[in-house]
Amino acid sequence: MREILDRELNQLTEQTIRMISLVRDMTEKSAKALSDQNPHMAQEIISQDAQVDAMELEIESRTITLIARQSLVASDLRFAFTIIKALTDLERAADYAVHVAEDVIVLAKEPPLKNYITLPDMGRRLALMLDLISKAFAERDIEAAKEVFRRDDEIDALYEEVSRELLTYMMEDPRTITKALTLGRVARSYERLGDHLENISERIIYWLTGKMEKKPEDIY
Amino acid sequence: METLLQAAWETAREGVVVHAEGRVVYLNPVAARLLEVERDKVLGRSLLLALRDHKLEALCRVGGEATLETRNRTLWVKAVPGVLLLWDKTDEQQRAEVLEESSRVLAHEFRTPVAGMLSLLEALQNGLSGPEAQEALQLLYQETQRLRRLVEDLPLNRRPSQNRTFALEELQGRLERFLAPQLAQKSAWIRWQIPHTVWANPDAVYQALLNLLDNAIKYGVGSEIVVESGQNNQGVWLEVRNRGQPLEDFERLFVAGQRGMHAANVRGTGLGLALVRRLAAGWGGTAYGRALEDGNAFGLTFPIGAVATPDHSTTQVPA
Repeated sequence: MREILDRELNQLTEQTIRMISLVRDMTEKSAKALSDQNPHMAQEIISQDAQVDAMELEIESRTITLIARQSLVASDLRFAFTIIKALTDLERAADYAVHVAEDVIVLAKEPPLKNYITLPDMGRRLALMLDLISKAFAERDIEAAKEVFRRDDEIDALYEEVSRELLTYMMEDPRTITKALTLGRVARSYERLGDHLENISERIIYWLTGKMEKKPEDIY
Repeated sequence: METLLQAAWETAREGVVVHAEGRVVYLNPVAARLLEVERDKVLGRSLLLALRDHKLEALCRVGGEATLETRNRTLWVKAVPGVLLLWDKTDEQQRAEVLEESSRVLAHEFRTPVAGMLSLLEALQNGLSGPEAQEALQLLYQETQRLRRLVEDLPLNRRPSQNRTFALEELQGRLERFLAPQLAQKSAWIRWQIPHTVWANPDAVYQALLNLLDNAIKYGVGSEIVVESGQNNQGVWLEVRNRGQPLEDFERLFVAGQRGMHAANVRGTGLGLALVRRLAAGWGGTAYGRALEDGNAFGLTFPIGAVATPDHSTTQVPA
């Protein structure tokens, strides 16, 4: 009986890892599309979104069935809920990668405001955070999940930095406002994407320890 | 035989993952390092859980070769039935990027002088004659010589090797004549006040000044550009000043790829000031920027050891 349950839990983990890997791929591509100003790559990201949506539904349905059939308890039940909660965050994370891709298509139509360095760096850092989440899921690695917290702080700091820089551009030269606003939207998308990854990490820690860990600033 | 092969793979420089029925049966230390997994945790697990990358897993299933970005690395991977081979190409990729950056730097160094030479050639083609034509030919000759020296001194970091003592005024005539078409286009002129003598490579100082003046013409407003030198107890400074909106974060502009807020609609690479700083470092000096009341100044310094102090240099430090 336990063997069947373990097999099903493993399959669920595999499907979730596949979905994380896909979202990671989209995030990494969004950074590359931005630095290369490549609208074709951006279009690829947009078309990958349907795959993520389908995966979300499939994994969700499978998890609910598992909960119902196997009367899960303790860490198995926490795992199932971790998956359910992580699915929503992953799907939202993919949406933000798509938002960035849509903005890249707009930005690529005109000469860049500057060489984009910090924003693609944010995207690449987020892809690494998704690697860590994947590791945490696959290897039940609490430290990898905690590392995501620390990295999200870096994303937040970069977001602040980019926002301030863009504000300076807009104040100094109103001709830059349209582009700067679009770039600000990209920064915001990455910042929000990071928040969703942080949520997933919180859930993984809860699954593995039974305790909910939140950063002090997230407790109200 | 099997033991021998396994021992060989244990010390191989490539990563190898052996799998059967969708599960990992062996991976060597290099593969574990590249994939950031612990060997004992992934042995016997499904490929997807071990590799944690849907593209790698798909490659294992269908076979083939690919270059993939994963775990912050660039991997070249080859999949044959039951085996996945991994090569770390991160350094190679980074070297390619450095090479690309060097090409961009070179292109930038050549673009400004070539544009100036083209203007002179066009003037000659359109019938410039007499002493003016002679002057244009002389300028073209000098520029060609300079570009030749530039090429001979590659790589870039060896360029400022021809240091000598020279008066900054030596550069004035050539620069002014060379930039004449650009100045005329903007109805601008340069006011020179550079009585000092320095120890540096004249070509490097010429190149640095050319970049600074090119920026002042492109981004400045108003007609007058001032080039002035002075001396303080650290050495000589040389500044190019233009009117316009005072900037704020100058240090950012000296980073390759960063451009000023007024540069959005002007063609450029954002490399010019980074190059100027690199050139200045070649003679032991530095390059800096500072805001003026109604404009900006970009300057070069020549440290005391690199200064042949002239008797008449009494100008004070810029504020």
